[in-house]
Amino acid sequence: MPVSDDDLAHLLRRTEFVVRPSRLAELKALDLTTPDAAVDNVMSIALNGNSALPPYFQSEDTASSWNQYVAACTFWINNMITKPRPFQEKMTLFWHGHFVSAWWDVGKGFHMMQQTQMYRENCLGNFHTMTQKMAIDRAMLVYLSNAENVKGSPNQNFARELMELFTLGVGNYTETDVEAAAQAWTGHNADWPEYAYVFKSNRHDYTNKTFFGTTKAWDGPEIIDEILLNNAGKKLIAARFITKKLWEFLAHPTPPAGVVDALAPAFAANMNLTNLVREILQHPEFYSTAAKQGLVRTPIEYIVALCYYSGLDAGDLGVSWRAETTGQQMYQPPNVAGWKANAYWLNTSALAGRAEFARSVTWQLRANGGFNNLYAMSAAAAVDYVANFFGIYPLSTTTRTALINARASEPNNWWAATNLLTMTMLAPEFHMA
Amino acid sequence: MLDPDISTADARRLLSQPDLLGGAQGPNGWTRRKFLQAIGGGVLGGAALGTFGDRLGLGSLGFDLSEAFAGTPIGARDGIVLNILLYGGNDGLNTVVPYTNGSYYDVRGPSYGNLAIPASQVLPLDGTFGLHPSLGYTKRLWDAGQLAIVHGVGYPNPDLSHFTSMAIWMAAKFGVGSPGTGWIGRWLDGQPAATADLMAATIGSSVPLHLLGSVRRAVAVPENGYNMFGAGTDAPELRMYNGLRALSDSPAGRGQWHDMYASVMKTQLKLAVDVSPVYSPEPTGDDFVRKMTVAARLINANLGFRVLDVGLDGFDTHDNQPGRHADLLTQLDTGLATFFSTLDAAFYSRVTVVTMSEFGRTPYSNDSAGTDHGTANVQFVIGANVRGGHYGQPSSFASIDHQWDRFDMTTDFRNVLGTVIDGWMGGGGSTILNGAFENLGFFHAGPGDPPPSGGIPPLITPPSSPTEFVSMNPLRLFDTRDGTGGRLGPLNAGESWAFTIRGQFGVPADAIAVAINLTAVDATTATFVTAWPGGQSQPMTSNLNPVPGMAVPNLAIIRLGNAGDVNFFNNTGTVNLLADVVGYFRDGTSIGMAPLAPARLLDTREGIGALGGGQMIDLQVAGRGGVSSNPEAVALNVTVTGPTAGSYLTVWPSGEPRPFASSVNMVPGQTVPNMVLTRVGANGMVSIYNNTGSTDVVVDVLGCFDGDASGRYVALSPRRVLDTREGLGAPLAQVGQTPLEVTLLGRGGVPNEGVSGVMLNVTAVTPTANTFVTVYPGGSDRPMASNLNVSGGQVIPNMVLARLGAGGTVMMYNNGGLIDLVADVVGYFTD
Repeated sequence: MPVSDDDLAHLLRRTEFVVRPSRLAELKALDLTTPDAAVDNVMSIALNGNSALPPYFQSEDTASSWNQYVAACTFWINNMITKPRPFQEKMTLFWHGHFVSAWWDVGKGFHMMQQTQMYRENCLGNFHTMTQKMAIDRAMLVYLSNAENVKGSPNQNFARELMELFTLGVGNYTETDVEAAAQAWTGHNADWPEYAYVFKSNRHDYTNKTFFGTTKAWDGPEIIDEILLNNAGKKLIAARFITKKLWEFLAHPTPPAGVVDALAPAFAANMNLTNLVREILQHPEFYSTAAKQGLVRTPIEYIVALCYYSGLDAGDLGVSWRAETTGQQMYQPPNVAGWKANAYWLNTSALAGRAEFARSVTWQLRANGGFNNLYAMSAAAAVDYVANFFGIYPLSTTTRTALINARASEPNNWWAATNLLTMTMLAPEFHMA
Repeated sequence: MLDPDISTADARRLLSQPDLLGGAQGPNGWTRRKFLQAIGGGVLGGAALGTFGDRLGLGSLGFDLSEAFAGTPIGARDGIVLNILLYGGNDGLNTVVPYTNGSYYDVRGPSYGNLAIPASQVLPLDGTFGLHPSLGYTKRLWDAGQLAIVHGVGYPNPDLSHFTSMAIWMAAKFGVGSPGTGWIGRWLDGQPAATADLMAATIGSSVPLHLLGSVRRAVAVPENGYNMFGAGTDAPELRMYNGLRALSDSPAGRGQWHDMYASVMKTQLKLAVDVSPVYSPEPTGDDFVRKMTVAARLINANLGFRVLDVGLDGFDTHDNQPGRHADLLTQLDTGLATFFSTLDAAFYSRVTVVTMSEFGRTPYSNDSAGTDHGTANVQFVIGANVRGGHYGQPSSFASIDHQWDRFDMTTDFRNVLGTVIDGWMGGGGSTILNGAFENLGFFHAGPGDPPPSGGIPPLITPPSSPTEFVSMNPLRLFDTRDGTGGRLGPLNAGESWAFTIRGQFGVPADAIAVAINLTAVDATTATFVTAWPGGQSQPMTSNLNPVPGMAVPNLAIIRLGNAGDVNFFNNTGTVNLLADVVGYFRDGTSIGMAPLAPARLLDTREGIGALGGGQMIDLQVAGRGGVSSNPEAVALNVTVTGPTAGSYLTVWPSGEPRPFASSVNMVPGQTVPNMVLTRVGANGMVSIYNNTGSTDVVVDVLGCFDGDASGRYVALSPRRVLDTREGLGAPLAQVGQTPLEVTLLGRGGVPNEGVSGVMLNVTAVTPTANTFVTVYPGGSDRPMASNLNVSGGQVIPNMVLARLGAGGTVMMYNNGGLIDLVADVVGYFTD
């Protein structure tokens, strides 16, 4: 399948948030008889180098957790914009929305930063390994209550979500399995006051439990081993569950029958995320019209696009606040199921939030005479100029006509350029991933 | 921030199968085919149709919404439901506590996390149940007979997943259901197309499953809408909105999400215009409290909303439950108090509040001082026409002896929803729920029916700041008989007329409320006239009850709307109005107010004799009847009796030129009272002038404005607090010669404490004999004074400045026969 410019732009939008001209040029220089070379290029996240967290995020800002939160949001958005291979950040965002914890629930923000960092480091690694690390992550121990899960009256919070939302999906386990898993995780607690993972043998239930029909003295990590490594039936279910979710995240939410099923067995065999993601990005269906038109930019993706194309500073633009008003509070998914897609983001309130952000960006772009050059252009030329500035190519006829008519109806004054900028940022094209 | 959301994808996945557009024709007359064509413009092929169908209920609906926002006021018998979702699974056992049940203290006792609420701390409802100590306002709702508690609510074969359970609650279908729609969404589907557009709203940023129908869905309205995008009014901004609307002129050929985005943007532009006024003044408080404020204001705005939906998140208390749960219930309680205190009285009898949560929690606590996902739970149903009490069987502890045992359900939640749908939303419950349900009977009556008793929710929050009264020489604002003030010609039947006062007629820009003497003449039929703040929905109150052949005056004290205007409404026939402004209220503390127990200062029948035409008398008020020695102004009730001609009285500060204004209008033979606010002359006296004929004059003093007095006036939007014809605020019975005691503290926007007096518009309705009515402080002796004089069969209103007795009540005495009494509160005085 030869790869077109349109395919490359689609690949970049889905993996790197925006189509940087320099990146498009790099990909166009590759062998494009198949997508393989381009996909390998966007996936070469090793080029990002050492991604260790800055010292400020290694401990708690005891003076102001709010300041730390705002800095954390800006930090992440900037990563998405500036990294040589932003796909690492896109995948980190996926895992943040999958293995969910939440900043204001966890309490200590830097624990969330460290959890995110672990996702960053493992985002294309081994799913089984990552799941084991996730289970004993400090933020997760607090968020899903294993920190206080002790024998006698176990807390089911983590055990249930591990199966329902993290690996298998509902219907693939029983209440007995949840109870057994909860008991197995007893004693896998957090130390006080640092919440570092600690195993407390006196709080662990060493009795026999029956999990997936096997009765023995199950221990917590063995539960994950059973699901993702040892139980052939369950690990195929888990592989399909993760494959489908990744497919929906990267390609589109309604894959044709069989696409996911075809990819799952290979993933089940090795739990290798790099291989799975490569298969998805190289798949012909990934370049279908259904895929290209299949995802709305999430609020975070919209914010990244606005920051990138405007060239304005993410911190100055108040991205933490903008993420909240557009409906996707960073480091704070709405619940343990994470975020959803498409229609989830398209409601009146959230679009008002997007519009208010666009208006704010407009004021800053117009400061000091920015875009005054539009006055001298014809309406059509001005519309195409601004669309190109925001990386939209090409505008649909409906949108282009609407923008040209609007530009033509506006007297040739300060508002003419101002409104065209805002309207282009609010054109549907700019809100499609 | 998004509400926790179990809408769409998860619910679809978790329930059995997706719901396609279904029947051949939607209720708005669109066939499935036509609908799809409109969305896809013929671009969608066969394969894409399947894709589209899977997403239907999510993706398509902006098109339907964007074109025809009706914004039609709801009908007088249309019920409104406020649905409160307690996300995460509320612990019903610690919400409605079986505080005399030993089993409760076993499972929640020291051996199990010590989560039990001690019997000494619960707010006892009866000998069996008590509310969590954070639910103080909810307890008052119970005391008012407006809280129904439904016990043991759940669904068969409970699933302990948040997502499955919430999806079942939201979908709310008997039998194997299609998960793509929710119960309110299906109700929306059945509403007439012309009115369905603005019928349901969720306050937040996402539309959850229960609000999604097959062809319609609720709109999402943010809790922070200040300066909302789309509500601008500058010409360039309006041109930009036009341009954005054009983005959805035709399908762009870029897929369904592209088109949906464009159409939702268009919807937002329309929505912003309709709803942005509800954000002024900006709501305050916690997120949930702001949402509840917005919900109440959306109802008050009367845009057509029948369902409001609000969520409160965080009930998944697996650990450290006591503090967290108390915080959450405090938010719930404060939210309810804010909602009912913001809600306009016109909607009291039309609003029902329902709480729900996906499940309860385990009876036993875990060792993290928390509880895990449970099953059966309690539900609250609240409203003026809700019959307070317990419904359903409380969950039994009999089968609870193991850590993971959970309560058995006794009441299917669909019985609760069905009762709400049939009792409050116009019926169709068994269709919407896809099966028969049991009506639980927790409604007294239908929406808009007069509540059997009470009917007023407990109220908190004063909506405006204390003010001082600035007395003016009376000045004519308008007279529709001669066009003074810009309007010539009477008000027509059903007409609302806005008149701007602030910034004119000597009423300054900082005026918050005005006192005007309002007179109705030339009524062609018996009618009523209501005055209320501009920009607000019309309250269910009245100021005047004109009948043909009478000139009826009444003092009206009215908050000014944001634009400085006041609305006047005439119900039937035509009527001319004339008005004189006599003073205004503004922020300030220089002049205080002391409400007084009524005292008679003048009765010409006992002494000087009737006041002749063109005659004037000076009446000493300083130092008499509780009035201070150096008053700024006084509130008087002035009654004319036995006039021989059509005439009027003018009352003004002694020693100053007589203004052209009327304080009391009269027709021969009629006894007419009116409250008069007037400055006092430098000599401590007021002057009283009769224009023509002769009449006796009776003057009672009601209050004194003075630099030394500490009380301040707080102007409210009018709210009805008493109507003996409907059992509102008093028993449903006519009043005889036993004084009626009416509680005013904590009602109609009057706070619970710190109140010395209340400004009431009292209307005496069709007495069986000629009589007078006296309003005086509760617990004190009845004074020789009168506020209203009314003949058999008449309807006479008068403004009353009523000082409150020790118990926060006033007495209303009827001198003869039987009478109905109606009272609207328009403001109060602080201590």
